[in-house]
Amino acid sequence: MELLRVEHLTRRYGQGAAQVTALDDVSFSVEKGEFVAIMGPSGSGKSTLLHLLGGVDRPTAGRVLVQGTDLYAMDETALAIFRRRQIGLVYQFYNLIPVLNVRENLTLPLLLDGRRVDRSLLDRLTDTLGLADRLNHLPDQLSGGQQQRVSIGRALIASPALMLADEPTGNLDSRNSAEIMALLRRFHEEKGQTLLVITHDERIARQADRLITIEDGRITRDEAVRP
Amino acid sequence: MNVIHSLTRAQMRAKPRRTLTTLVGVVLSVAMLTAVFAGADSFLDLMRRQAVADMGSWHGRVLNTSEAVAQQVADDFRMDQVALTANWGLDPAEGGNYAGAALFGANEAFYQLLGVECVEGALPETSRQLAISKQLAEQTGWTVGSQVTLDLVRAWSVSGIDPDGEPFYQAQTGQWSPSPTGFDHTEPVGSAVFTVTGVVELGGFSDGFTGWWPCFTALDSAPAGSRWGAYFTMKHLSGEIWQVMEDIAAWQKAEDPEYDPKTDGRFTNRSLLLYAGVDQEGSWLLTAFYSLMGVVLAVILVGAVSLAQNAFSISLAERTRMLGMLASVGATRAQKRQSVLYEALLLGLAGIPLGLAAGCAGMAVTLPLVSRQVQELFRFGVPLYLAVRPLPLLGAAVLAALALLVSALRPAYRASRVSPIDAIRGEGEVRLRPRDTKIGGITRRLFGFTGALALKNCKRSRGRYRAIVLSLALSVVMLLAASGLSFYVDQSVTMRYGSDIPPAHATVGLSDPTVDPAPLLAQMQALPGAGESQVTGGLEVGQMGSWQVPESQLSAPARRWLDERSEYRVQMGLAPLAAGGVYTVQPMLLVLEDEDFAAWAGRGVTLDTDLLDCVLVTDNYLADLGSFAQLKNALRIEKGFSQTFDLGEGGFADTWRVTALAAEAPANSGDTTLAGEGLTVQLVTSRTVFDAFLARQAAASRTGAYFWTVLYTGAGDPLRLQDSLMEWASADPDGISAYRSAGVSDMSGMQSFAFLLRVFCGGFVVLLCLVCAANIHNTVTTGFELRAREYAMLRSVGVTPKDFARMLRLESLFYGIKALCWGVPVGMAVLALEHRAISLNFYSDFQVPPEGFVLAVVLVFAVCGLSGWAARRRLARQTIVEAIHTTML
Repeated sequence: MELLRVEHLTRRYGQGAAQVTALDDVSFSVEKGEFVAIMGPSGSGKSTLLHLLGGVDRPTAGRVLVQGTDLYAMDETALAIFRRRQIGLVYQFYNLIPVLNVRENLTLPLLLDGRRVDRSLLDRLTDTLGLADRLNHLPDQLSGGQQQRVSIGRALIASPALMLADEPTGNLDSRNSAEIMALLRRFHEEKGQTLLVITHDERIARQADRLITIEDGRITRDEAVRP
Repeated sequence: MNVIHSLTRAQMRAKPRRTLTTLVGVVLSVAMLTAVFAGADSFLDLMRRQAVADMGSWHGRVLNTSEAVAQQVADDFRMDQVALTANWGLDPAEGGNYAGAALFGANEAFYQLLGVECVEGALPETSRQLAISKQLAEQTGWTVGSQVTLDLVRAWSVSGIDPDGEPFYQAQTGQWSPSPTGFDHTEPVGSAVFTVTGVVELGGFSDGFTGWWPCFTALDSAPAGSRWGAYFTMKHLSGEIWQVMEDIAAWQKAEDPEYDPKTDGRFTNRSLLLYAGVDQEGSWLLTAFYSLMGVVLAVILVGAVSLAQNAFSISLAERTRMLGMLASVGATRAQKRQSVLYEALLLGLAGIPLGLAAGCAGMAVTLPLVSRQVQELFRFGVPLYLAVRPLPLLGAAVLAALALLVSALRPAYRASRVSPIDAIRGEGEVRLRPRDTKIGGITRRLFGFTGALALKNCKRSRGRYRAIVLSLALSVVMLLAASGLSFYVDQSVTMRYGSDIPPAHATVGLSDPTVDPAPLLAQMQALPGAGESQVTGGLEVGQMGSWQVPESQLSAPARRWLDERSEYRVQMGLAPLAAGGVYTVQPMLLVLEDEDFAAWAGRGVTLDTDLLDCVLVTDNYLADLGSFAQLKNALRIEKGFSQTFDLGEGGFADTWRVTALAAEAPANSGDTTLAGEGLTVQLVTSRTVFDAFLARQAAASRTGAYFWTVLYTGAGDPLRLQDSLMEWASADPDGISAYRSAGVSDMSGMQSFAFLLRVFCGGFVVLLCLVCAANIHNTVTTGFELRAREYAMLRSVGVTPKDFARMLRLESLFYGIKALCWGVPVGMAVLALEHRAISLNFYSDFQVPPEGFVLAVVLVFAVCGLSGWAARRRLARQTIVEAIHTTML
């Protein structure tokens, strides 16, 4: 079942001679429960693609449909609500809110939505993330690996249809990187979470079901990694 | 210029709005400091000019002394200029309304030091020429060119008895001298013929001349035995003048046979010395003046330092990453410190000259605008304008520079401690402690999750949070203090003068109740310049008898005030207000025309004409020996209360009764009642009731003291009315009226004071609020900008634009709420102190000015709201991706 459809997605920055095409007429689709890795050299347009898929940037042309909903046909408010319910974003630099403790950071999308936090779900999630004894800590009291685990938890707490990760291990050592990838794989395998991960690391890319390669804003390869 | 300087300048250029806001704040702070210095110096200059206009520009003088003493003063090496006069003698007038002419020889310096100005013709150059005072010209009709003969005499009056019993004769020079009939001994000097060459205004020499009017000739050829005067200025005005005065005393004793120690003739120009800072006795005045200035400066400095320190802290927060990177490539602590200090230097170099100019320009415009009120308040003849010496300006500049340096020290120290790791970790946010981000459940329930997040954001940076709250709270306190001061002074003016005094009034006192007042009143109402008027009348205090009230019957505030007054009276050696715990109460009756009475009391109040039926005013003001109180129904009199009085010996006798109670006295009634020898209550009745009362008294052949007053509520020509009132009041008695009095309100002085207070307090508070606003604007906008990535994150995880705007709005709102939580109680305490200070003379129950609170709340939320709005607009323009990228670079 198709979860994500990208049609002729184009993103240009600047104007006239200074205009840069970051993404050039990209089209592809992702099935529900698929784990897709996106690779490419620096400046190839990977992050731009991820931002457009996450609904945090606006395309110059083209459409992004998540579960049949055109993200950019919605107004800002509807898009924000859609984001917090259907899309989970994980960044390289964690981007936790420093004034919120671990529990609040984890449950942020639910709090924003005015939804009750399911205690058992939170307990299970924090056990899985290894953060059960860190719930009242502030982000700057955590290690990099712990902070990234919080941001993964935040992305997953609302059970989104699509989880997007922009170089989630780019800021971590090899041990923490392995732990984070194991976590992502676990959520993918156990919960059937649809996952798109941008990475420079071929070892990580090889763990995905499918690998899309981007160069100069265009998809140059789209191949199955594991059958 | 080294690399640190270049980077600092680049950083300041990169944030032009913040740099400009900080610069505006610095300019405002310096302008305020300058305004205080320039205002104070201009005021001292005004005092000095007034002292010169009143007395002349001399520092010390000796009058009515011998030529030898005057010459010694003139020859003294410590003197700069010496004005000499020699009184040849007096020429008593034959008839006329003046005592005569007093002839003085005077040197050139005299005209200059005493401010004696020639208004017509020329000053005398020889001892045959004469300059006459304007007053003498008016009395004698002498003009320039007249040949006049003065028949001069020397005169003495007995001023005391010598120890050996002989009378002591004091020479008379015309100054403070009696009329010719008051002389005890005279000796002829001879006749001299003079040509009048000029007419002079007496200026500072007018002191002591009332009946004798001076005229002047050259100093040479003064006859032997003339009484001399010497006025001098010191080469270096200092405490040395006291030694000079002692030396003069010694010369007087040694070389003036007519020296009288009782009236030694030595004076210093006290006001002039005082404002030059050389006065022993008056030093408390200068101390009080400089203390007040110190308090104002301290408040400004707190605001200025808070602004500047905050600005540097913000700038440091923005630069932490850069400093960390510099540290990683080998920048020393001193170099990092320099970065902040250099910013302070640049701001000072631009802000201090601009602030000095702005402060001087502000005062140059403001002072002439309030000059009239200042002149009215202090009864000065000279105008107020900007007159500031370089030294006070230098003082303002130095103080401003010091404030900037002090503000920069802490951020500079913090800058020096920035390590390379700070560059790696992030934007140099202050480390958070879990307890800083604890939010109560009530906040969460009241404002929701976005509200709680907003409050956490407020509190995340303790220093910045405190700076904002302190700035805002300071503004609230200052605003409340200023509005309170204005409110209490207005209240005092009302207590002293009544709530609504007409510009002028005329009163005629009568004793015979059969007199028809109509012709008298018609004459009073038709006085030239009168315009619209209103007639009132009444009985004098004591004409309605009195009654005794035990202390226990009075209201508690009344007891307290009266006890205090009684204590004070006893201290002053006067009788206390209560005798044996019992107060004597006297009613005062005010009579209004029937229509006026109905309009004031309401149509529902009907009065019985068979007795003196009246309305009691409950909220009257009491006054005793310069102290005033606003007491609500001090005597707790109820409706139906009545008293019968009989003054005996053919005096008034009747019964008065309280038909109704009214809170406030009628307009224009002058609602202050004097406590005097006892308490008074204010009663008001109608003309019909009063006419019936007078008719009863007339029928019983009784007489008493009553009056009719015309209140000129809308004078057509106030100046003309003033003249005609004076003329009317001083006209010969008409045989009917017991007395006539007239007056114009003397409210102008207090009103001027209240106006000046409003202008200066208002101006000061507005400027201080602007400084605080600049501070808050800087902090809030930069705080928001520094957190742009966090906000972008929040938006990326699904905060809607509406919630986002709400969160930022709430963040601004919380600053305001917190500032009010601190500012209002402190402001209340300041109000209580102000009220207590003013209550020493003007007693009233503690009240707070509601408009002050409204203004404070509006100001706080306006400043916070506008700053938040500006920051929100800037953030909203950034997309999520831009924010994440920009701040990650």
